[in-house]
Amino acid sequence: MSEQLTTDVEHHEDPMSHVPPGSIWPLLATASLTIVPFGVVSVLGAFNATHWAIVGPFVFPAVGKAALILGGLGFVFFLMCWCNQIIREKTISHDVVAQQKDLQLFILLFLCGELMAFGAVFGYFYHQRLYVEGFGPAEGMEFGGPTVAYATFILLFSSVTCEFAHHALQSYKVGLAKALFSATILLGIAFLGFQGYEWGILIQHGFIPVGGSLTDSAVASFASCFYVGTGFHGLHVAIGLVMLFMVLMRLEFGHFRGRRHFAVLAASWYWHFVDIVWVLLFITVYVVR
Amino acid sequence: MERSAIAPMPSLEIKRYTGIMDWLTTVDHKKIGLMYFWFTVTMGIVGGALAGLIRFQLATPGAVIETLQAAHLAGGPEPFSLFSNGGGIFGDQDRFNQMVTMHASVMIFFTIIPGFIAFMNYIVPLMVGARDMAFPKMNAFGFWLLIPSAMLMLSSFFVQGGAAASGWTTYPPLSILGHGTKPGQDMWVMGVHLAGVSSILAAINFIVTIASLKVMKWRDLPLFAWATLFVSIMALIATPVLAAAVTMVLLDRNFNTTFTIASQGGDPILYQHIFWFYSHPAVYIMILPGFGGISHVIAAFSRKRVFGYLGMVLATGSITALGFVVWAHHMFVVGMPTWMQYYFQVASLAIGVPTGIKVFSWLATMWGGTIRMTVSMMFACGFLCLFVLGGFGGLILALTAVDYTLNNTYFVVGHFHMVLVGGSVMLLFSMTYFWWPKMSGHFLSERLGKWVFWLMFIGVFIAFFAMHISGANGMARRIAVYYSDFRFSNYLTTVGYLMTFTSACLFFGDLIYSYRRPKITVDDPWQINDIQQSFEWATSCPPPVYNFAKVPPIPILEQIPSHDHKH
Ligand SMILES: [Cu+2]
Repeated sequence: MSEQLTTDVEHHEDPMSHVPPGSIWPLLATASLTIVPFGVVSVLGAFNATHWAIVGPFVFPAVGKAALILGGLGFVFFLMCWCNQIIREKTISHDVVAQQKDLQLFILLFLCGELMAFGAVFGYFYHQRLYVEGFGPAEGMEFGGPTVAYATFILLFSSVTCEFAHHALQSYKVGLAKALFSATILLGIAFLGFQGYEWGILIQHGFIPVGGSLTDSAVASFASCFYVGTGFHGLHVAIGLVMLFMVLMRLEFGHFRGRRHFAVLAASWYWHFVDIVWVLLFITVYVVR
Repeated sequence: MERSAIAPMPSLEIKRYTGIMDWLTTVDHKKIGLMYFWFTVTMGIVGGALAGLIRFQLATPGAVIETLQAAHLAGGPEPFSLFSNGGGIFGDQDRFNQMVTMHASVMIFFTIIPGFIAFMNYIVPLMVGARDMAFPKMNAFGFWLLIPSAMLMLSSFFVQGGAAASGWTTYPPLSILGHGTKPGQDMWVMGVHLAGVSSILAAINFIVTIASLKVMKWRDLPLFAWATLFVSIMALIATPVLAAAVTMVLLDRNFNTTFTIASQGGDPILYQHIFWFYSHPAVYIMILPGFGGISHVIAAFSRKRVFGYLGMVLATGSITALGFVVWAHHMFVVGMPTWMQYYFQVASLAIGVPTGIKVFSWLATMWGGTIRMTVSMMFACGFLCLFVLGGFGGLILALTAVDYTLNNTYFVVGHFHMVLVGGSVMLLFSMTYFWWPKMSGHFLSERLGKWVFWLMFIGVFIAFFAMHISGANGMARRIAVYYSDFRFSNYLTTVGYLMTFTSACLFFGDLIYSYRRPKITVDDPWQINDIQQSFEWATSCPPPVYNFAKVPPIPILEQIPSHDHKH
């Protein structure tokens, strides 16, 4: 038979932390996410041949584009509402330390998942490198010039500013933290700018897997990996920027007192993760031959 | 000082909704678990109906092939050159391919995986003594995401060119066909993305819930919670890789990349490796939660504690680990180096060891116990019979040399149906009969349940054992017509399907009717709480929104009898 044990159940005795009120935001976020894939198919023109009675206005790519944008914006908006609700609940909850631990575990596990997705891309890259003759940029082609070096330096430096911002916040220097987070955001935007510039140059030179000036199939395969690897990374930089921006806004509103600043930690971990992935990607794309 | 600049805290009015809005805004793990459950039941009906259409086509060999067979015997062309226009009720082979693809996708992504998540959602927080999941809103989000996912996949039947037709494995180059004009495949891929996000979020949530909200020590954690933990780790690691694989298909179809297009430097076989790196673990995602669940069922209805608790945990853990290093047994015939084939054969056979440990532990749990043959227990025993049988088929297929012959025949189809329907679905039924009183507050009928069980058990056995026979004789899978030599074994499969179908109908009726039965007023309707190491029987049926007013006393594993004292 069972026996009464004395356990520390304080963690579970806070009704606010584990019986929270309902929330409409997950449903609304899903609802706006629902129209995005239909918009994608419509923009691609693949609904053209389907009868309008079945897909409705989605037969027109223009409608699809509008739906795509509206759905995406709606999703981000409802996500913000969701975050806002959580922030409001957390600010009056007492069970801070335990929740911070849960959230840290959440972001760590999430990054593990992200790492696996990048792992598939890297796995593909190295498989091709090993088994495909001539996998890499075309002979005599301008690839990986100073732009990439600047971009790499900028991103590495932004990781440093981000870390210092976090430290500044921990010693309650909110003004300094704001300045350093702003610097991090600007550096991140600059990185994306350099990446866009690099892509633009390459596309202009016809460095496209299909339909460009590439004749060698091994180079085409490299181009696929290059765009998808750097594009997927760039997407993560963009998400990191959104997170940093939210941190900056919340600093502006005077959140983050004492030990409760999970959002800062999450944004900073995420930013470092993006940085590490970039280093790996840089080595994979530009260094290993 | 900077801190004084901090704004005052906003006050929070707690909004409580009622009626339908209560369900739409709920973050309660019990309500979400029930929504998962009903979603699963609905999708099970859809997937079963698709299976019915496939069986309807395969009930007879198909007129065209008979004619061609005669022509072939008279010196004409090979009948299998017929691949692209099989005839029969669908008009052509492509419709049949769509049925096969969508039957698999619906059953995997919307029936079996969410079916287990339904129980994990409802039961695990109760088991570990928590008030809810660690991230309740994310839990709701994970459920809602399944609905657009299912919408995308099912609505694709009605667009130009119909649904995805390249099989649920989406092998290129088949999956690259029809890009730009047949959006079904694109919709399928994006449906998988949404389902994938849903399962990653659920996995993270379960890991954090168990790691951080459990009130017992790790060594007292119930086996269902252990299984949930391992499955979540698997889903978290594997699902992003699936997303990457299907994204390659999407990009190759629409955005001019060449990941899987061999003529342009891509590698379709590498796609298969990446795909199976997810999809082999996925078969464990589809069965391990049930393994954990019936450990409770068997222990409860044998009136003993589960035999070999530590062995069970370690076996589950090693299945999780081994599950990641055996994927290429699905692709023995693609032309891998011999050493790879050898390795994947041995590693796949090795999984039989921890699985065997679990099976013998269940038998040892029953041994010397006072067995109560409730319907739940019958399904657990039925699972043991059918799963072991299906598992032996797996051992045969893991042998590279044998697989060369049996690959892409109905032997493979029979094998995975025997372990998925005879295994996972039987487990889902067992867990439903066991936990439905807790989840709804009403019993399912034990009398009708016996019919449900026997019809399903015999039906599943006949249907899928006959498939093994068809396959061993050489019947190819995924083809809408077959030689008349396979007529009898296919007839048996159809009979088995009809029995299973009848059983499912009876169950569905009973499920709805159960709400009209008297309300259960006790906490522990099966009278098993004294031999359980978990908390779900220590609160009312169904539990209140806060689960426990106070965390109940923690049962100690060693103090649960290892043999029945009344015996
Ligand atoms: Cu496998």
